[in-house]
Amino acid sequence: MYNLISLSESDKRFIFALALVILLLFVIVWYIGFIITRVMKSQGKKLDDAVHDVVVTRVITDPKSFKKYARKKNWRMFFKQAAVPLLICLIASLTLVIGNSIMKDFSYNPFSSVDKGFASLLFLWDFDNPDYYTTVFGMKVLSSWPPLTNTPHFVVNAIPSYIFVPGILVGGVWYLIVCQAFIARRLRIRALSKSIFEKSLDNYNQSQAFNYFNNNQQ
Amino acid sequence: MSSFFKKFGKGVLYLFVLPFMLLILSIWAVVGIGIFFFLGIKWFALFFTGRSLFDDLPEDIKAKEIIKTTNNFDNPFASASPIAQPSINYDNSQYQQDNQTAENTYDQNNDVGGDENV
Repeated sequence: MYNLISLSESDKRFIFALALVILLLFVIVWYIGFIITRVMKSQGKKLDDAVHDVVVTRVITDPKSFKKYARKKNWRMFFKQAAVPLLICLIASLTLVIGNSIMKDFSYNPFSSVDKGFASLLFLWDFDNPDYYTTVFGMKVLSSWPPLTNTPHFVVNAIPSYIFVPGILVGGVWYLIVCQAFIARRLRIRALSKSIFEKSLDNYNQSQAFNYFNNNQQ
Repeated sequence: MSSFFKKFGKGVLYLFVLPFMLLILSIWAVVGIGIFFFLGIKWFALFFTGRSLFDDLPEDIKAKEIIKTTNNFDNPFASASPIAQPSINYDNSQYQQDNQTAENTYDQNNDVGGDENV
């Protein structure tokens, strides 16, 4: 039984390194999550500016009408913010469609490195080749750096792809950030609808309040 | 060290929650496109009737009216018109005359001389 768990020195080092990497990976994930949470809080705060006046002037006095009003405002803000990224995506897609119509070729992949793809502008390495991998504990690990398969080169026929891919990436990421802001504001609406109209009895003592009124009446 | 492990634990939690967060984000992204086009059509239709999608809501109009009539809208108990304050344009000669009269009255009542008063 004892022999089954005996490990060589290199195995121990590998396990230690692996544990350290996993630990650091989770801490990095926490840090990313922390940043996202902070960003969402600041995005949600922007709703306050839109709903401040109606709450302070007491035009809205109950959570239900507050939610209804704030959601309307939220959709309007979303419409304003999403217009630019969606327009970028639309223009990028139209460029590709028009380019393909002129070339009469809809068969290629605009992301690929061959022919008319965007990746012709990138450095590419042969990561698909299994010769550059080794197996450790049943896992495939890169053993040596693969050779370069593509160096950046300009292809005239790939111009629609050069416009489409960055456009769709920028527009897409921008749109997702706008959606995240929308969700953040929605969460803020829910939190505010509870906190603004909250009637709390914490630290309230009825007998003291009664005496206070009696004393003042005399 | 404990804070490091707390971060580690939260990292594990985030990793498990991440797929659900991405799912919610993607659902809202798809719903958002639908709503965007709906609002776009509405905006387009309102544009030709001389209105805008971003016009004030009835609640906004009410709030603006209240703000207009109230000076300090942060304090709902503040009065709409300012409380009348006493005038500060006091005539100096009148002040001296009043002061002298008061001093004379005091001297007469207490029967005191000018130097003894010091």
